[in-house]
Amino acid sequence: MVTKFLKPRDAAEALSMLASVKGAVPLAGGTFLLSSQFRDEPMTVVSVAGILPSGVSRTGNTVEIGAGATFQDIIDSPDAPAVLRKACLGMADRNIRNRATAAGNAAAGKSCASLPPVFLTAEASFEFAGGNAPLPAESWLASPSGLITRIKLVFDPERLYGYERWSRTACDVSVLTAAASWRLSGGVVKDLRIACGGLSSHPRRFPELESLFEGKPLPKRSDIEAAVSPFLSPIDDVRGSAAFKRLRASILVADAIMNAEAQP
Amino acid sequence: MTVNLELNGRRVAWDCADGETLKELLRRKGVVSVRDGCDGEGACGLCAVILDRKLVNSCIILAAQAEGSSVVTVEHFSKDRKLSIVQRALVDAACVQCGYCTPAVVLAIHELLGRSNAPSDVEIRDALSGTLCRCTGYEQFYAAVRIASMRLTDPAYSEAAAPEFRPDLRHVGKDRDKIDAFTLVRGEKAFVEDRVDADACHLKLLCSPHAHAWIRSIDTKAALAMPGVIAVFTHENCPDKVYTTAGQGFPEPSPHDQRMFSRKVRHVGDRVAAVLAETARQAEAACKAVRVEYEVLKPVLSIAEARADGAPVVHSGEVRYVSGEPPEGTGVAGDGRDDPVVYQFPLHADPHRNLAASVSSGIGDVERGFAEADVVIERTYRGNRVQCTPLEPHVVYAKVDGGRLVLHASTQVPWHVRRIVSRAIGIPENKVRVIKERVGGGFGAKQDIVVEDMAGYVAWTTGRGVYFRYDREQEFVSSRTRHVMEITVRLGAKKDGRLTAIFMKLDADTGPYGQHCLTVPMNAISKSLPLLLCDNARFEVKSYYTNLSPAGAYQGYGAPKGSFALQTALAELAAELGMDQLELIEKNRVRSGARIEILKSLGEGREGIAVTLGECGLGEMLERGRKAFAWGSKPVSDDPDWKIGHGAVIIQQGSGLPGLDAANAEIRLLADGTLLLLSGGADLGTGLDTVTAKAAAEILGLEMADVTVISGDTDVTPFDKGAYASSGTYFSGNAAVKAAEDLKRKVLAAAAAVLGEPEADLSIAPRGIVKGKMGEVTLAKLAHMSTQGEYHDDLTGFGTFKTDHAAFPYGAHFVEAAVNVRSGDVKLRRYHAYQDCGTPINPALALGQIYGGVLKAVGHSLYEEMIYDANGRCVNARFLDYKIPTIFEVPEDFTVEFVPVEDEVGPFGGKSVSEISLNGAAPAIAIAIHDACGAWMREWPFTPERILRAMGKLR
Repeated sequence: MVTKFLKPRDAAEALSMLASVKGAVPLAGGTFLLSSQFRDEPMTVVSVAGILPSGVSRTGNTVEIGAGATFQDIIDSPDAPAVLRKACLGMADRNIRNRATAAGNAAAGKSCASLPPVFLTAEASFEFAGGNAPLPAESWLASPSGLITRIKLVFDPERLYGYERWSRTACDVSVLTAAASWRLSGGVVKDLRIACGGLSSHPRRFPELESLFEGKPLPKRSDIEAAVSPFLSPIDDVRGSAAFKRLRASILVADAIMNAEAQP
Repeated sequence: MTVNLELNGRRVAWDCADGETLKELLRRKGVVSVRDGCDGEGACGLCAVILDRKLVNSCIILAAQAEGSSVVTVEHFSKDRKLSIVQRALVDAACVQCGYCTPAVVLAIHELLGRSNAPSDVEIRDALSGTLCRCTGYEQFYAAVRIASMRLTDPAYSEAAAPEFRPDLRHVGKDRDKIDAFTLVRGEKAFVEDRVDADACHLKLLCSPHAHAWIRSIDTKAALAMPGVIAVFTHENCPDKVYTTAGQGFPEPSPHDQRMFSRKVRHVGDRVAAVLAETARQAEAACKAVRVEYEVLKPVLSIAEARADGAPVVHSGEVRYVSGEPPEGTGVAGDGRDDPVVYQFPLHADPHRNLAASVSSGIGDVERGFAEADVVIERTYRGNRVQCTPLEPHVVYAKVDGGRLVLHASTQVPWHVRRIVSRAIGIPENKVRVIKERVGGGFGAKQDIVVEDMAGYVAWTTGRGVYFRYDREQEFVSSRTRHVMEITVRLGAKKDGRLTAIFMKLDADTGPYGQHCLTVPMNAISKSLPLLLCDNARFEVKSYYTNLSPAGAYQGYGAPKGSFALQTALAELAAELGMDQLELIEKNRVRSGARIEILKSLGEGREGIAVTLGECGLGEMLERGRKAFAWGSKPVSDDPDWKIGHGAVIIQQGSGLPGLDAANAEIRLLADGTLLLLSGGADLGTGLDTVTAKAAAEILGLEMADVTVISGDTDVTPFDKGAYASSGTYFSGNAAVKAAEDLKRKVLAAAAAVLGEPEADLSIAPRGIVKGKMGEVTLAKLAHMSTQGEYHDDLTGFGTFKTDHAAFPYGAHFVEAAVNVRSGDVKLRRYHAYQDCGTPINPALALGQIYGGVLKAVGHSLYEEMIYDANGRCVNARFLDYKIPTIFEVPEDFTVEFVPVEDEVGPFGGKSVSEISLNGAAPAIAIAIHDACGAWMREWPFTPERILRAMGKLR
């Protein structure tokens, strides 16, 4: 329950407010923070909507997403690569897409968040208010801190990018997500990146999976599934048993690799 | 703080608290169209507004965040009470049922048309992706958008929403505007929440955290001392009497086993205390201040645990029988601590062994039938607990007015509410008035008196206006759910497929209380067995108490689970015999002229009667489905991971409870020749008021606009059993027919006197003109004369309907499903429902009932299940984790066709339409899954995980 609403004039003031009020949290779209699951928790929020960039642009291989860009902004942008739009469309509820922001999706700290697996396979880095040095998405997701202002992703034209998710119904939250990017060189897979959500405390890359296929000819789908399955350790919960999630995530990883496409 | 908005084009500056959401602010300021179905979870979309040209959920936006923004609500499109192009299209396409989600749908479509004036189906799906609707099945929304889109360029555009029937009639069988649609599509005041007085107090519940426990002590002193608190209620200061919450005819076939507050809690979420305070937050805070010491007991968390020797006893009080004797060998002496259990008549129960009710019966010699069989199969099917999930949760506003208790209720059974509340409180029925408001979805859950007893008592004892509304979690765990059922089916057949014997053994979990504990499980039998003609059939039904969420009525009333078991077993038998599934159905199904002997053993609490069926449309339905699906030659997917299969089932329901229920209506001719129809019927969004209006307009030669229907007000309208058991059209509709015919007789008699012509020469022609061979007189003139005391008495008609005639609607549902054999995912490529509802009174609305019913059943079959932890706590009691279908889950080809077989007693030949629609999806999908991938699904929902397990791909 929000007990105090603070409206800074700019990012600098937002940082100051966040620093001066104990427990204050930045509020962007609010689709996560304002949902009823936090109804009983007194909260001071610092509204960052309108003071953070919200555009989507592309310069060469680099796509820049303003932290305040909503999922729908990204979908509507001609500069957004298809794999990113697909990940945004995974949030099938348009009402939510109209509010949920790219940075908020990362900052919510949810294991099954939609976008971070794509960030992780597209060399994403986060920029911050206050002059802090940019951080690779992987570092930040492991230890979040600071107010994100921009997300930069690199889409190498030589590489292929794939993204898959599983949810119980279309508008469900993502239960499991997987993204992959790689290139084919000399008939073998090179520089494979695999990132998954829903399998650990936060979305992360899985180097133990990447090394299975690195430098080898592209395997069959079923071989990928069989190979990755032993390395996945999901938990039992209301959304599925660990055994099912392991099987399902193996399929997602295989499909993310095999369905990957160039992002012109 | 002050927030500045441009609301519907008008600048406003409103004070708000920092934490107030935009939804809360708008509602506080009287924008009632902004509804709430998920308690601020952001999951239902009913609070949608257009904020700066984008559709958003106002429950997860702080009012302060909207500073300087443009906000559009449906009131913007309802100016001067006119309809926008979208509102009109939604009415024309019959998309308005309960209407609770309708304002959000209006906004979503307007926002869509603002972006795309000729949207594709993909765009339509995307635009409506955030709006949950439990009534309509979404299918007709596509037509509404198409109509609105076309009218952007061609305002005169129209298209038929459904085929027409009965060319001999003017209104019946034709599409007419649903009579409450305009109010609902404009988002005007219509629901209980819109009737709450400004000075009303708020009632909040302290719910049990334990599934099974004694309350050792309860201390309310601190709560009573808190700001704004008016009263606190517990087992120590509530009436000491037990009753049933089942809204059934009296004496109810449900044990009276629930006290307003008990000293024992029997499920997580059970009532412990209630606080009345001036604000909701004060009441919630005071609930937390109530100190309770529990003596926690081992809970009963499954049917197996309930029937085990030495199981914990859910009800240990004295067992009493108002009439009849206890079954031999059952205990009746109580433990002196628990509340009594009172049966109005024996239900073959043994509560001290957790058996709430049981029954067994049958025809022929089942053992001989199995001995004669060439093939015998036995299979067990399980249907888990699902929630009705009306998007408007249980809600009531109770107040004392003129020395009487007035309940503004969202109920399917106003008269049962009156009776049960008056007895619970201990005041006579003449001191209670129940006004049924528009109901934001009922689906059976609102056949029970879930909140009205407590709110009524609190209002009566304090004299304060009491607003009581379940939150979504309470709605999940403490309202009513569909019983868990485990059904073992044994079938014997000759090699040619002719059935020689059927045995069904059904165990049900009624939860902590016994409302509908016998009748719902019995319906699983009585709406499935009579579909098959077999000389030897037997069933055993047992219903057990457990410490899980209360079960009760849910659309279909047990029939979907019985249908799932028997129809799937029949398909399994076909596989065993190596026969085509439809061929086996054809060999054994009920048909025109058949004698249905099993009905002798399926009476509703009395001796049943075998029936010789008149015409039966199943043959044509099966033929249509067979042709549409090219039965026997299923498509092959291009993708090797996806396998495609077909499934088909036959289904049935009833039309009310013959010999048990009654409905009444009164119709008054007003001085200008229009009609006031007072119907006892409880329209819960289904269009029942439109059915009764049509009856009146049809019979009296008037237009629909000439008829106003007042319904479900116990002070104003005559008795009606309520909306359950598929009785609306058949019983309440027929009462309106009889009232209109009574008025017509009186009108013709009066006109004969005025015109000086014999009654036999008179008829009523549109619009309300009585014509004879020589002269004519208008209804208005006759009515005016009656008010002047000339010639005749007041022109009022009265109709009572009761019957012993059983009218069965039948149906055949066909499914084409694709199963991904790697992932277990299922896609419904095609779903065709062929149904007989007799004459469709409102064809397009009837289609909507079927679409909605089918999609609910699709949800139950594929996604929905209440999941409990080891302590009996439901762990997915919210829409975030209990997934009901959205527009994305609609089958790709979703088709409904009527195959009308008129009923000789039904109004204009009509029968029921809604409940039957839920009986086909589970077995048809299960059979299609088997056809696709070879796995039999015997437990619903058929989640990918269960499918993979059934395929042996997951252990």
